[in-house]
Amino acid sequence: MRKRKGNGTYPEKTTPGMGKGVPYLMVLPSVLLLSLCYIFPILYMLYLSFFKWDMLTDMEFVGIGNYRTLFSKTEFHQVLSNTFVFTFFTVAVALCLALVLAVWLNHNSKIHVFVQAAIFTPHIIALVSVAFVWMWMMDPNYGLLNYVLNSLGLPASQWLQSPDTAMTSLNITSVWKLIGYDTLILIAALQSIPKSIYEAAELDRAPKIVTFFKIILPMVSPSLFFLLVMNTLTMFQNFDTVAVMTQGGPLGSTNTLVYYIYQNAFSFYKLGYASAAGAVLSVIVGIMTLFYFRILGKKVHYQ
Amino acid sequence: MNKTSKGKKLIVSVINVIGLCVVAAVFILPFLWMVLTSVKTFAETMTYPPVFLPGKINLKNFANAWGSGPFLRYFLNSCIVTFAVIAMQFLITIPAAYAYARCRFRGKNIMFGLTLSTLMIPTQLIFVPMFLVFSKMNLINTYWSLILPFCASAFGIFMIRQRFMQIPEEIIEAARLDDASELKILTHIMVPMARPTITTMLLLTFISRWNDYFWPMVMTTKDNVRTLAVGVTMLRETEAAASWNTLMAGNVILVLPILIIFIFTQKHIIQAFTYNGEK
Amino acid sequence: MADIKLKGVYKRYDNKEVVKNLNLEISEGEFAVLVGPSGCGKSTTLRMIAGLEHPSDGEIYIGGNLVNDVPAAKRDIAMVFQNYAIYPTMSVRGNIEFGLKNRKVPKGEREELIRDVCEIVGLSDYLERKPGTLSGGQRQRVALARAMVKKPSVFLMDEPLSNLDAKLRTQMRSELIELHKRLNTTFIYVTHDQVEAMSMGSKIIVMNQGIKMQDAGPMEVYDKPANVFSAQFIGTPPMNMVEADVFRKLCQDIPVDCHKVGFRSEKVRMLREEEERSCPCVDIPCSVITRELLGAEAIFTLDSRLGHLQVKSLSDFLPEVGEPLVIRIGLEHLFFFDQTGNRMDNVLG
Repeated sequence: MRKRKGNGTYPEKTTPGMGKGVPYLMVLPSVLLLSLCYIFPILYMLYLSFFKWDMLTDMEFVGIGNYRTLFSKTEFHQVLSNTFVFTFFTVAVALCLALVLAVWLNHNSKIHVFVQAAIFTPHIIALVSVAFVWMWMMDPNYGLLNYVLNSLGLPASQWLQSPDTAMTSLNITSVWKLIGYDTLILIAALQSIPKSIYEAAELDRAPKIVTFFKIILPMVSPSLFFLLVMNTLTMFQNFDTVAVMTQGGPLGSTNTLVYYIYQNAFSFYKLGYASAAGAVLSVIVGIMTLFYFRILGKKVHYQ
Repeated sequence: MNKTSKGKKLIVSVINVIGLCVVAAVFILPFLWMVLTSVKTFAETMTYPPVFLPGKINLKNFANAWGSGPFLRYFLNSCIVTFAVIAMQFLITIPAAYAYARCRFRGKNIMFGLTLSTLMIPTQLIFVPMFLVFSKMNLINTYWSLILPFCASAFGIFMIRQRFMQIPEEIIEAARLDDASELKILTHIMVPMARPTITTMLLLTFISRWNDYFWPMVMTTKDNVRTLAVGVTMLRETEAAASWNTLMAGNVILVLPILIIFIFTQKHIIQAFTYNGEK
Repeated sequence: MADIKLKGVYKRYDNKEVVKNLNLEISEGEFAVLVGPSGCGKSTTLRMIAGLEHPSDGEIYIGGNLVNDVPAAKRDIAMVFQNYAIYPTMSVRGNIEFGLKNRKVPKGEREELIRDVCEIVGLSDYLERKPGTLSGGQRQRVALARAMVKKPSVFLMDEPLSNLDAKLRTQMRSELIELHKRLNTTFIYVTHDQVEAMSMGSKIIVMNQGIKMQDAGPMEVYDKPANVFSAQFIGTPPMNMVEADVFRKLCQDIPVDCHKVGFRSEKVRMLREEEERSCPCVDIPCSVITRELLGAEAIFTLDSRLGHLQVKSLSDFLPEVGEPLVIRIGLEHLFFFDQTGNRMDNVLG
């Protein structure tokens, strides 16, 4: 008779019906790949950030030199502030509009479902193509947008060509891409609110606006918060629109963090410096993620 | 009084429908504009005020875009990379999800924690070191550099594990009494039960891989492995094609497969994405 | 067909004993019912016999063979689960066929077996349906068919009727009894419902807190409950139980070492007033607190010097709430229990 541990369940660290090594074989590919492609690079990047390296000559240890240069350069300050401004306005506008649209479109009639699908379409389309179409529509001479502005009696804009309007142009493009997803998530949240709650509010003769702020908003707040964090993270790491539409210009007015890292690594071959900037981005992303889980743990609660 | 309130209602609903149409137009018109431009002549794009409908449908732009670079290559590369990632995800995530959901083994929690932690690391954080790692492994300009980082989707492992854990223990015990091996339980009972979740994950993977521009742009420098999204931006650099009509034609080629899939599986795709949002 | 024997079986989870020193013999062709309140270890016992759990101690024999180390699939048993555990992605046929396929039964033979079994349980018209489209009763039948098709020597059932509505449950109950007669196989059936146990079992095993309280035929459990638990668990309403010291005030003949006195609610006669005694008995004056009229019978809760008592009456005498009356219990209907709760012989009856 096989020997068994005292408590009589199957010997503890195994699974009935399979050998001891089988579970390891099953998780091994994923663990190896994820370690190689995500965990190791983060550590390697941290390591690189303490060196000066152009891929051709030998690596030279510079301590926190890269970080010192990074924070003393006005160029990097501008990149950071661009990134924050871009993220803030895109997310704020997208969320507000999405909330309005969600309440408006929260019906199951044919036309509502159609409009829902329409506003969602940009979300599944390559960001590159979105960037190209908007770039074309924002063409100052032949673009559709200036034609629309002129027909409405408004002055034409330089859009991406001017440092004053380039960032706004990127914001518009990003909001257009983002908003469908946000709206549908919020509609899903609205639909999970039991009908009886609206009916109770109606019986209590609550005005629509009060119902919105006192009942609807608190009940969708977890989704709203989820979107806030997800959108912020996505926008913070934006690359495609900048790369396609402005290449960081004009005059560095749209250069954001990821594009800046890319430029330094692959155009100027400053790998250590780029890694330091990457480390800064990691820290910001890490803080936002932690913040998300913290808040998720306590404040935003559902029912 | 009844009449006026009825009239009011009618006006409100008319305004509502007009508003809805405007919203829909804002999101559909750019696509329409893309398609219209792609069949215009160069002269028709260079007029102000813009011409809305082209004089005749001009398919030469597609030929130009297609001929301006190895577009067929790009297209095939996109297909190869996308489907390779899907196949690899299928093979890698399902056994891993099964092990995390049902097996007992030492170090399980650490490995699962490690898997989940990679959810917080987007590719935009690690492209510089990854480029160096891949170039050391001589993988730059190979399909591997485009496939490997996406084979083991932490999100997929998590989602499928959750689904596997919801399967009642009795069903698995019944299968065990029916003389089914563990492998058979996985392939004949658990995977079929988790099929909607698995399809959702693979659908999301398909869309994100097909559309991705950033990663292939960083990891490739040669046309032989570039994907369509990168190829479209390459159009700008070839002189012959650097006009809006050709550029839009190129983009239509990139967008069309996804749009067609979306039109036919709209409900499923929207569900897939909103599922993604709910915890 | 096989008999089953458990010898000194224990089951512990994290030092909590769920089953304690269980000895059990179930002979071939028996319809054995494990009954007890939830958490009494009956399901664990069944799962140990099935091979889904491993005993911490002790030996389990099926058909005379020690099966402690035989995997579940090789024990020649079939099990019906409480929630049916039907494979939701397979058709009815697929569900029934799955085990046969795994045992590499040839196709022709499979077809025949499935046809036979489905005829018995009445599923022939539903073979290609998916479980999602079936009613609760039909799913129950699929689970039964899936078990039957294996032609096991022992049938294990874990509360198979508890998810059905009351009417269907009664119907399935008689169908199961019929099925047992027809198959003539050993059945082990787990339930918390004593009515189910009484009506179906040829042998009843009463369990409580991991310990076997009694193990006998249904009438024996009813007529000769081994202890207080058994006495109160079987029968509705439960047996009236009175402290012996209180009861002595009415009847001095009670044995000295008796600790508790019990009598069944249906063995009591209700009288308007005291009558001539024709046999040795006890009369207790009471008044009615509540009465539940159920048509054929009525259940009264009465207040008396012995505390609250429940009485089931089949007669036409239906006193109103508050009405005083006398109840009469024949001495032969009294049960005496000692300090440890075990039943003593009734010397008075």
